[in-house]
Amino acid sequence: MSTASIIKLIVSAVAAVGFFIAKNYVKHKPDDSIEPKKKKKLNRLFFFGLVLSVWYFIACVINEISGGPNGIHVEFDLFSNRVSLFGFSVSQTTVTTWCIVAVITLLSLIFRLFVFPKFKDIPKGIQNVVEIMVEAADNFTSSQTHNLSPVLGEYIFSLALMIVGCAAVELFSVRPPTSDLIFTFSLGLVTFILINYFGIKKKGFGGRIKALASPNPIIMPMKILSDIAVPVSLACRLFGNMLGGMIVMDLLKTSLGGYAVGMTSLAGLYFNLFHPLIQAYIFIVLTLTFINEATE
Amino acid sequence: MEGLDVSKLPIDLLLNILNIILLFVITRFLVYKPVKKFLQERKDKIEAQKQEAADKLKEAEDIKAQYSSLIAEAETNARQAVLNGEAEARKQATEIIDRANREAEDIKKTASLEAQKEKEATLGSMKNDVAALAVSISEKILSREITDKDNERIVESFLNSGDNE
Amino acid sequence: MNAIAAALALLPALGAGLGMGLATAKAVEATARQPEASGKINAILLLGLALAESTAIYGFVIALILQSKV
Repeated sequence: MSTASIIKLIVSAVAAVGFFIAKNYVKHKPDDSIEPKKKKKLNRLFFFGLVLSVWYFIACVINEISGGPNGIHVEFDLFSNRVSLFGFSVSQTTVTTWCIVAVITLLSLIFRLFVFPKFKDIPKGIQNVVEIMVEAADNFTSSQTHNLSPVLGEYIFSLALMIVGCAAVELFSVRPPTSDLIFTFSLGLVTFILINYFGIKKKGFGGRIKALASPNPIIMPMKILSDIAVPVSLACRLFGNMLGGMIVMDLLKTSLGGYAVGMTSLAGLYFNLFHPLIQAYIFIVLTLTFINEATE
Repeated sequence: MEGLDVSKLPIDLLLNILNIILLFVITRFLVYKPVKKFLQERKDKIEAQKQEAADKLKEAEDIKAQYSSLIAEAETNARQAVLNGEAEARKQATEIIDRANREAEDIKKTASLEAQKEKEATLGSMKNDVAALAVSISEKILSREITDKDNERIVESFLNSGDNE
Repeated sequence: MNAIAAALALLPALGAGLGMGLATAKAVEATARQPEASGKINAILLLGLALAESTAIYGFVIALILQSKV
């Protein structure tokens, strides 16, 4: 506890209290001495000063507790580390995925046992939200794949839940499963299996091979290569975007140290909330587009 | 690369795929199927209500059409009956008037015949009265008794002159 | 050498940035021509941008893999 830090703490605390009192004074003063436009400007200025001084106070407190900013020091693993569990060595993403599945199961059980029996004819509240989600998944798949199969709508629903769950886990500063190439590659593999399954079901095995050689049998190897590139590109796209977001957030947190009190929330609004949702939407749209292409 | 354990790669992939399938099965049976069934039931109920409303509307329109045709029929019947009654009444009126005219004619004829007869009767009695008067007057004038023959002779000549008149 | 390779692996971002800029310019022009369709144009634009960005992301992933081998 050096004197400089104590002085910083005291000055910021006094400034915060001073701004607060000034703001209240300006708000409750009788109106005839200051005209309203200047009053509003003064009000805003004091509010700004209040926020800044409170932020500085908290940042100094955190810096005291945990040491100052570390400087820009990138330190991350490309693949997540392994954890030993009951004698098997399992990677951390698998454990995180189990936790996500457990949380979603708990929420579904609560929904099924308590919310669903109270469904009314005219929806309101949670019933509205659930109905919108289910109906959106169903209508979206039907519109993109021209009513191929009802199972597809359910899979898309659970896939969306999974990717949104991974985005939610990232808010708690746990390494999300989508920033692991193995996990996204398994998602891409499931898409690949679905494409071939529906293609063979709709056209037969011979039809699928004929579609690969369709205008001219010479381009068959290129078509096979582009078919293999589909799950790889899906996996890489999701992985790269999520890993990029995670690196930026980590940089923000480690390099600013205690001064990053409010800024991680503001930056997290984009990197942890908006960006993963858009990537999830892209993933789902591309899955449905490729399935549609293989079955028409 | 650190962390990449190639020997464990297939197991990792398998575990992840199993996790995804587990999530799919759980959300399918706990969330998706009940909500889907509920939505379908609600849609069917609304469709049945709409169908029922359409049926009732059609029925109501049928009944309305039926009743309005009955009313139209009754109206034409009534108008027809009124027209018939008018013609009938007119016919009867002309009949009555004709009958009345005929009766009036008959009465006139009998009345004139009777009047003629009465005139003649009156004339005859008047002639007798006038003859008696003439005899009494002439009696008084002549102051003699008129014999019966003279009487007859005067009366006849008077009557003949009266007839010629 | 790996460091130079990792740095060169990020050159595809040039093409991605150029393509995304052109796409956004066309989208802005289309919205200016018909402002009622701006919702649909927005959705199509986001889809196209995320697809065009994927080549830059592939370069990024290769750079990461090369960087960890330094």
